[in-house]
Amino acid sequence: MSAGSSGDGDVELNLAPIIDCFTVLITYLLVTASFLSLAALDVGVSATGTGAPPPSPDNTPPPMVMSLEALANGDVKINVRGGVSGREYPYVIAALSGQRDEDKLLAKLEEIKKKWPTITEASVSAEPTVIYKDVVKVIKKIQEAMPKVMISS
Amino acid sequence: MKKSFLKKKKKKNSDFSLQITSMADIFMILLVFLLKSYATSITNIAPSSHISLPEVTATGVPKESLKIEVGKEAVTIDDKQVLQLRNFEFGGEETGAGENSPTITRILNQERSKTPIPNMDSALVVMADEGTPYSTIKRVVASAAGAGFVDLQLLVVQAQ
Repeated sequence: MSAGSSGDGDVELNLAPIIDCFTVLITYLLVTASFLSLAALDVGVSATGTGAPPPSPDNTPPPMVMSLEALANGDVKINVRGGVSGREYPYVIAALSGQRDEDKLLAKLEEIKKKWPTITEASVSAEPTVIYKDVVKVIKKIQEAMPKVMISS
Repeated sequence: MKKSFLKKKKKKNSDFSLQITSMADIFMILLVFLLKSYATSITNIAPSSHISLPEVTATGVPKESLKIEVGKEAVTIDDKQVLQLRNFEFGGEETGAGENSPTITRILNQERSKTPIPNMDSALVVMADEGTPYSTIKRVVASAAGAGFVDLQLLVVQAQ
């Protein structure tokens, strides 16, 4: 009896092989894990670019469309056109000490959205020398105001 | 007396052992954390080391689809180099046919025909270096559109 109870008390889990497994697993996970948190901006492709909106088949006025162009000097040109008159409404968001004024851009987009609620998408282009980083920043800012952003091809 | 003292000391040394229970606890927590973050991250979408993606406060989750990577020296589609660039610029033979790059359009069309349901998946993940000029991006986008890839996902690094 006494020998049996003494044997029960001495039983303990051998942790050494478990630790070995954990070390191998943790090393593998640390080596293969990517610590960059990636995100994606969903954009469509517009073939029309900054051209005139396509004519509607049933003689209804063409919808209002908005296009933006990022300029190399930091300005952003916005052009709203269409409607019954087909008139164009150009705006320029001037650069702020060489940088794109993103707050002013967002404010202008909100203003345009209030004025023409039917505009739900924007087409984005840029001057050839504008770098991708700047284009992406402009797209991100537009997405805060417009649900759909198209990139001009 | 002396003998018994030595004996006692020896016994103390032999009893010494590493307490690995707490180490096992730490390892377990670390393992759970790593497994959880491993499961939620997309490991197949990883840009090459030679390109640096733009940093934006975006929240969209990248979806698994065909990938095109635009670097300073090359354009790769699904990890296969398809085109050589010279400081982000296309060679003369790629710029002759309008806005498209014939090579990129051809390869993307080939990739498109490999998908189980042709002409159904129009999504393309674009991984471009942050310094790529818009003229190059525009040609890549036009080539992708020419092959029917019109739902683009611009991959960015999430800014904190």
